[in-house]
Amino acid sequence: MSVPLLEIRDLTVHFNLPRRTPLGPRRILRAVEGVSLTLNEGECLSIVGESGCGKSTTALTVMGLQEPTEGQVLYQGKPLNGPGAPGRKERARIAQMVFQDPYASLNPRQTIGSTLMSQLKLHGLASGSEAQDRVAAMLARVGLQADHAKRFPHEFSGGQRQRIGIARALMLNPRILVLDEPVSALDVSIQAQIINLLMDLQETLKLSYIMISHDLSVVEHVSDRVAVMYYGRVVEEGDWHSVFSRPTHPYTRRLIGSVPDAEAILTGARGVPEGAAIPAGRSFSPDISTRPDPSLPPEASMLVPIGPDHRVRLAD
Amino acid sequence: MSDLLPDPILSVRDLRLGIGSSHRILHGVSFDILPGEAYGLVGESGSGKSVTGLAIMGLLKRPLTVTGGTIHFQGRDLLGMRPRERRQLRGDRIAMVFQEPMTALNPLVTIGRQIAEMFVIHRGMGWPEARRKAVEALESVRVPAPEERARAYPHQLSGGMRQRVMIAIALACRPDLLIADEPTTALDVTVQAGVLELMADLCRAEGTAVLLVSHDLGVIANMCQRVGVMDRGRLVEEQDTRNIFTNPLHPYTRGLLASRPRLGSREPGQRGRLTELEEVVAAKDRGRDMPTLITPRGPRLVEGAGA
Repeated sequence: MSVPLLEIRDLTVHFNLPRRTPLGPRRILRAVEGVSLTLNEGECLSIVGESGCGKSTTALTVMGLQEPTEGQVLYQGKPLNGPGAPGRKERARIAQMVFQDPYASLNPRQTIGSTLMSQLKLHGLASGSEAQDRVAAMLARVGLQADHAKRFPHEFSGGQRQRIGIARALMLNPRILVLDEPVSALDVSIQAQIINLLMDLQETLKLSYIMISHDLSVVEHVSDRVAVMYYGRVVEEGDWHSVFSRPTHPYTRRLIGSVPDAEAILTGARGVPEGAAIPAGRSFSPDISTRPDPSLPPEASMLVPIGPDHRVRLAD
Repeated sequence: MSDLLPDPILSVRDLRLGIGSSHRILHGVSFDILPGEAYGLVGESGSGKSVTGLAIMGLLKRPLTVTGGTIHFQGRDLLGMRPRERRQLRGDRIAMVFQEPMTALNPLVTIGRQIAEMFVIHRGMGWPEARRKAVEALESVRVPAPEERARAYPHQLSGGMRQRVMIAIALACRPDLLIADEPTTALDVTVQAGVLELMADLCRAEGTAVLLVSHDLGVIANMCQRVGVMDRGRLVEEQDTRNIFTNPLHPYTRGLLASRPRLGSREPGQRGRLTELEEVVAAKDRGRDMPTLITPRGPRLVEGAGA
């Protein structure tokens, strides 16, 4: 079997919370608990879930912006953290991030051109007119014009800023883009443009995506694989079509059932497709009728296959 | 048919907003909301849907001003009113729910007191009685342990709970019109459904008319009988909600409908490319001389009649 491009293995991230009283017990927030995911070359893996489920923490660990408490992130089979791991510069050329709000992630006092060029200089890849040419080529690639390089971030619309955010992430030719809610701050019509741009770039540049999103209709359109997270754990995971056509974990079903789909509401044809059968005598984990306490260790459970490329979390 | 309809509770005629005397933000918007009706305004950012809501509330910020048109509420001219009269209406007869409850609530005041304030100001109650009413209001928006939560500060509540508090404040005085501007956009999908349902239930029970401003057609379909589509400061189309998806009249509406990513619309083995608005809507269809396309209101189900 070939080595996946990126592998997240048993990732656990805990945060220490302040004690409630000076001599009170230590408190831990279990943000991510034993998450294992793989990203294959050229694929889009989406992580979905509500705020606080650990999807962004998982993404930050991939970017090296968050140290794992336990577990590993492997790139082409080699660990990205721990001894012998690549340095920050090297890492910057493996994976880059596109943020939800591009305006907050661009320096308001630098022109777009100098923002994009600074990476080339820092990495010693190009300078002078060659760097300018590369910036112009990148702007064209994301659907902007070469003379936009002279402008400042505030001179652009939301959709254009997200194009700039994508251009910034692509300047170093990374293999992986981590897309953190890339379209949720945008208007519906702009969303379509950015989604189409991302899919075109993925094809022409042979990129692999990890997309963090709470918008299931966007996820269904873009993804090859989907992982649903709930309170720090993956509760369902698999091929996009399998997960969307047979959503099985009660939490996945609740998520899909909550999408306000206008036509379905009006025609009364609102319904979640039937889930797959699970082995007799077993139950889903965690129980979603109660809120798990993120400071306590989760119950023993495992991901059990329920289809060719489809797993769901059941209690042990 | 139309002569059977009751008088509108809110009537906006040729409303123009701008900076100074130029009409640049809204170019003459007209619509009616009937008593107890939920009316949705849908559009993209910059289309003018939010400023329309703010103009009705009388909360426009300078330099943005009303440069033309009228707004009548229960037959009274809102724009001709003295500021004092408008303040009395605001919060009492017309209330508003904002998108971001964290910025709309006062972080230094307990939520119980913020709700109670409504009863003290608009109903002349004393604080002890107002506090009791505030706990009842929290209970009505299905906040668990309302007695205890009334003593909490906004930061101690989750986003969904805060939005329920906002709804409790807005509905405290049983207003005749509720303006909700993107009330669930900042919430998780699973929470969004519950908050919308709550708002719809409470308004239906009290016969409160609603102006729901949203960019999300799904949210509007969930709650509204009638929908107006806005583009670039104009109302381009108005229809009954149930018809707008099957029979959109305006090219812009068709574009808006076509460009949404929809659950269940991607075929296996296929790339999920989306239709872009510009592929459907020609530039000329978004011009100044396009008339507003309006179909008359369909027959209405009068809920609760005889019950």
